[in-house]
Amino acid sequence: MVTTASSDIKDHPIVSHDQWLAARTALLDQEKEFTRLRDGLSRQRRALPWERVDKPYVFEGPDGTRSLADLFDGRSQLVVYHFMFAPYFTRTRPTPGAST
Amino acid sequence: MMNTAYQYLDLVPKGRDEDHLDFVMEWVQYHDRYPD
Repeated sequence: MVTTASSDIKDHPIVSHDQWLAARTALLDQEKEFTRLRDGLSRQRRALPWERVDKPYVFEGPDGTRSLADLFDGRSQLVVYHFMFAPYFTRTRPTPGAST
Repeated sequence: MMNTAYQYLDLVPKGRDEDHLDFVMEWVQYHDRYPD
């Protein structure tokens, strides 16, 4: 387990190409293990049971009032991102140039 | 780009939904060619 410190940058080991490649290839095993574990987690997440949504949520969109079903717009999946403004935010709209 | 797209897809019920693809990157388009 490696912890980061500013000396990780200043005193960082510099080696030959072959030595770097050996170290990088060894790390690849860890990265592949991580990918497999992450895929397994994603599988478990998709296998979670579902909960019925009965509450009649109402949303204000660019084209007026919408129900939760309306937001799906005929599609099979919907991603909802809850963007929370800190108390000191005075803008009611995102800054110009900001993108989601 | 691909990595972040997959990270979102891995959160939704259908996941990557790639079983019907001939190869897994088949869905990638030029950025302005994706359908709405």
